[in-house]
Amino acid sequence: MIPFDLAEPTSLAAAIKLLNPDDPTIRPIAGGTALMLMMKSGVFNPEKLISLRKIEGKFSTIAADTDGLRIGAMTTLGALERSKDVPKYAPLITRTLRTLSNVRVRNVATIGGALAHGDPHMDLPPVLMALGATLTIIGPGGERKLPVEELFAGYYETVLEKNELISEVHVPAQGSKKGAYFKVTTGSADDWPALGVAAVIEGDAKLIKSLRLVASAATDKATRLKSAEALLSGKTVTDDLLRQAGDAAIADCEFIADVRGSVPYKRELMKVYVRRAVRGAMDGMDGAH
Amino acid sequence: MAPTGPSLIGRRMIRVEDGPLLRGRGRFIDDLDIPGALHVAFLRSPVAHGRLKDIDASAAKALPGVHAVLSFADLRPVLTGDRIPQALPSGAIRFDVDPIVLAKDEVTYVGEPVAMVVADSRRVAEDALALIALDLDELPAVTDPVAGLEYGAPKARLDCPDNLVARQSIDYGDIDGAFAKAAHRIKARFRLHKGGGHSIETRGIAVRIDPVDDTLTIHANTQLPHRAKQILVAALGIGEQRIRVVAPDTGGGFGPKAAFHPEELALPAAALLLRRPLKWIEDRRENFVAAVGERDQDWDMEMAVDAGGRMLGLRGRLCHDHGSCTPYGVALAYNAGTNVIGPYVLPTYRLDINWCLTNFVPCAPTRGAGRPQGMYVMERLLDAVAETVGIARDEVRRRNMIQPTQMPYATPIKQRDGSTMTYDSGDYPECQRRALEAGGWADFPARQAAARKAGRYIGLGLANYVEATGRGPFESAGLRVGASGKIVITTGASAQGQGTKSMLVQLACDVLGVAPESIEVIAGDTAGIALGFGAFASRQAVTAGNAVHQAAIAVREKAIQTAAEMMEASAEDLELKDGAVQVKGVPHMKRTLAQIAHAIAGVPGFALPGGVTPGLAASIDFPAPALTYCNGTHICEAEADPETGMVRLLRYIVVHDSGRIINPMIVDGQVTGAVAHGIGATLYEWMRFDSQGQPQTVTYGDYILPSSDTVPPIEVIHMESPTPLNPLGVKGAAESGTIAAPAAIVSAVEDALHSFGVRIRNLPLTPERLLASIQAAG
Amino acid sequence: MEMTDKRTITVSVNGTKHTKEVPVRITLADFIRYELGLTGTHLGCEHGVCGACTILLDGRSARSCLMLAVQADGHEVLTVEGIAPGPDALHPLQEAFRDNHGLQCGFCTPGMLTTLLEFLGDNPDPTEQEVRVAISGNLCRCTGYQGIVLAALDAAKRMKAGRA
Repeated sequence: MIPFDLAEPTSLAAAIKLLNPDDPTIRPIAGGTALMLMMKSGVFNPEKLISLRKIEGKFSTIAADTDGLRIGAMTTLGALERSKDVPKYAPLITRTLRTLSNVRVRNVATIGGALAHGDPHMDLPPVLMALGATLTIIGPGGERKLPVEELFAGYYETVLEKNELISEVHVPAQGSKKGAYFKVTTGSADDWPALGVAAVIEGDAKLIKSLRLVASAATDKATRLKSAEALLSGKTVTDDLLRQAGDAAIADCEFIADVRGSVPYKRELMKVYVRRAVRGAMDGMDGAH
Repeated sequence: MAPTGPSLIGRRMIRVEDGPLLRGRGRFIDDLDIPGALHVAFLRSPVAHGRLKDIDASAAKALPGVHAVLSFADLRPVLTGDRIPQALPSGAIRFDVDPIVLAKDEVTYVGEPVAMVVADSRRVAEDALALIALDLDELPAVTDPVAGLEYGAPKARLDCPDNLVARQSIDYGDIDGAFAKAAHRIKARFRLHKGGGHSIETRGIAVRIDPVDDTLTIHANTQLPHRAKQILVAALGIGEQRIRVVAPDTGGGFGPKAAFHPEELALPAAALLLRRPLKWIEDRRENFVAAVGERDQDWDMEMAVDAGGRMLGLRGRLCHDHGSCTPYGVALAYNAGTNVIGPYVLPTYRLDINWCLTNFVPCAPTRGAGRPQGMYVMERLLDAVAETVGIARDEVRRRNMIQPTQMPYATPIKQRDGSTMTYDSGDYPECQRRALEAGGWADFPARQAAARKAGRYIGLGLANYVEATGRGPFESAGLRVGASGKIVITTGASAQGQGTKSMLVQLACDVLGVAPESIEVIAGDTAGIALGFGAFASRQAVTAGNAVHQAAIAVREKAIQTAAEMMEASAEDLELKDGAVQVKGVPHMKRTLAQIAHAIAGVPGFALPGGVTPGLAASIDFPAPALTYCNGTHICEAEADPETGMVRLLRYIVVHDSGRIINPMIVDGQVTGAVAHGIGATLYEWMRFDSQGQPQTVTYGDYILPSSDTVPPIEVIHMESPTPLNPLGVKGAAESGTIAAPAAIVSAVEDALHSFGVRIRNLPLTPERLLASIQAAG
Repeated sequence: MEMTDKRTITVSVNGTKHTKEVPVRITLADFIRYELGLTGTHLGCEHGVCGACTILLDGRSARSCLMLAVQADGHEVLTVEGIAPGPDALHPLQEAFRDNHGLQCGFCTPGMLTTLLEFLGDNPDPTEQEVRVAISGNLCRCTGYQGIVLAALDAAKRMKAGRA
């Protein structure tokens, strides 16, 4: 790693003041699990890092009420996984975290960082999008709200300004909705996925009243599968319908090729996993592999 | 507490290595604090092939903390020649392309060392790398071995007239006659990739230069310290007495640490120039691009069989990706070619092996050394024969197997040194029978049908193997009892985690009846013993094991003889027990080994007791003129997902015969570790490059190693057919687990997807490739 | 010479407090290994995948190769050197590794031990499959994981017996 300076502000407001919208060599660092990797490989060479580890403790807390969960952006994924409240209000998050990378990453990585990084391979963005989560974002001009769905602008790109920080994630209570996150890892369970599909469904044993379907990893960014959703909404689920939904999902996505698979292969996976994720959600199944 | 009673050989004993390693007190290369050491970082070629015109290091040299930036021209004055003298001769070699310490005027692969920075710290050295400007003219690169041998292909090296660096052939029997009378001929082409060694510890070198003694001490995690010393003596042109190579605790070897890499010469040469101690620890990216390993082989084969599925002949071509130079001879593809026959009778065989220079990091053996590929070719063809003839996969193997009554079985194959490849012992049909029984082979069709009804595709695979182990010419061992009673074993064998020291201690304890704690093993230190080799070819239990065993027997006999003199007793009435020679049945009448050692260490002016020779010690160089062949059968149960091509291994059974077993715990560990290596080579590990020769998989996020949740539980069953070729009756065990794994796994996957008619040829078998095979078959 | 920002940090490692001035760019692993001389924590990949550098930070596993030393300021670190209860005794987890051949070259072992220490604390009675998932982020090239899995299951029993 090349030399850099480090600032350790003790408040979020102070941190934002240290950021410069026009200087890409100044960046905030939370858990640093992704950023450190980029710095070590020379992909990112900062002049100055703004550490968020010493800002107010309230940004590392989880609050729960009937409205859902309010998760401070500096909450580690490990704390989220071990929280007693999360499985009550959003059990899909707890289940997803168990196979999200591995424990030593979850212990350090933060939910805010996992979103702000804009990495399409992450597991939480599609899950949070499927759950309809929204963000509180703070910048020099104050605070704004943004659905997670509108955060991602492209491959490793978000709509955040360089002097804006996510302060909180609000996850509406899952309630009676059923959810599943299915991912394909071509190596071990904690390998980066080739595809992730999150499904959150309102309905009964056979009928889908409404649903949100989100794909990631195979795509340039976490992506709502709106064509597939339109096909399935208000319908009784059949194998044939699910097959059609899988085919339709292809049109919603911008696929990317990598060592885990070519674009044609990821298309095939998408067809299969849209079906499996919807089926899995309706049957109350977890999904990995 | 001293072990007593019956022989320790065959007993499970905990290892002497474990205590410090479990406490974090291992002494690995990067743990050595070398006083005053400067740190080295290498500038490496960014392109696969290019003409090197200029290296501008002025800015790097000006960086505070940088002591030197060295290129080939700087090092050349302290070297005896331009190239690193490897001295692994073979008549098959058409062009000598020994490696070079730093690129001279041509770069031939991405990662080739071009210059070295010497600085106060690794961080500063790396900062300086970024300031060096290379003036390079990029040249066309050879990035496929088959294309590299076609007419008009670019040259991988400008100093060679073409890319065919070596050729060999294996040719016996009337191959044309065999094909003429065949009932069936089966053709298949295989593109087989095998990945790197990937020891979790990377390579590392520290050089100490002693201005008082004028000596160089090279600490390196090499598998072959004595060979490294030999090369350094030749390359630096300085006397043996001035160079010591010593391997510290080493975090895995698996082949790549056996080859002598350019960095191993660059550091000592630079230390001589700068008169400063130096240290270099390879980072993981360097390990991916610059450590040798295996890569691609293209096999185009045809088998002839009679109506009953008995082999009549096998013929074809093997094109081997050699990389850009020759760091470790030309054994790899020949091993693959000779190992094809495995435990079977193959009456006629012709294989032409072409070695192609490519613009990749040079190839050298990793665990298994080509044999997994050779065995894969045979076993895949036998599965195809079973299908064609309409018999079961186990039956086709039985019909072709060498019978125990045929042992020793002289194959028609000539080995590297011209001798006949002769299997010494083993019962191959019984080995397969036991594996089939343990794997539930007979009941499997019913289980498979039941699973199929539940929507699951499971399959059972079978593969056999034979492996040449215990390669000579010899290994050395010395055993000495000091006057303190402490026993020191020195050996040319080296240890990278195999439990080599424990194995030698167990053998010595067995003979001497002492406690393991009283023995110290010095392995992998050229100052410990003058001659030796080290770790390769599953050889150390055979060679060093027998050497220590014989040395211990010699010491025991001498101890009894000396004690007899000291106690004025008859040697026949004495026995060695619990670290002392005692009168049989009268334990208090004894002389301890320490007392005996003290007595024959000598006192000035006094004769030694009974005229024995000085010192309670023995040295043995155990010769291993012939290889001893271990064998085994693997059974794998796998589940495949026909919609995605994903494969999951459910169960793995190994029946393994490595002759007499010294420590079953250690042998189990060697076998399970090697199977995991084979699983990686089959399903996950793929070192990928783009068409310009740029590596694409240089992290463990992209190059997937087998992990605890992708390796299934492995059941190891031992058979013991002692070899007549050495007194202990032992054979090697460390590599064999890799050999049958690819064939067994792929056989299981084909079986699982039998209803689709899937044919799998290439490795690794990624989900994407399997899905493509399913779609092609459908 | 280091042209870089520096900080004074205080880190407790295996119960001993260390206060040192360090460049902000050095990793926690380098701090532990080269500043404190505790070389039991190993670097296998330096990109967070192999797990050899795993330490416990305030009792929770973390990758010391991908953390800055300054990030550990004010925290407690446990490394492999701090696992054994004393110079003459091994922790039951270490004993189980020795008795089940859970290590060969020993290079991945420190990370395996720290990872399992946290895991067995959270899950004192795991199944084999749970153990396999727990260490799936720690690469071992020697053992095929078999001895390690057996050791972890054995350790769980020993630790339970020790608490009883």
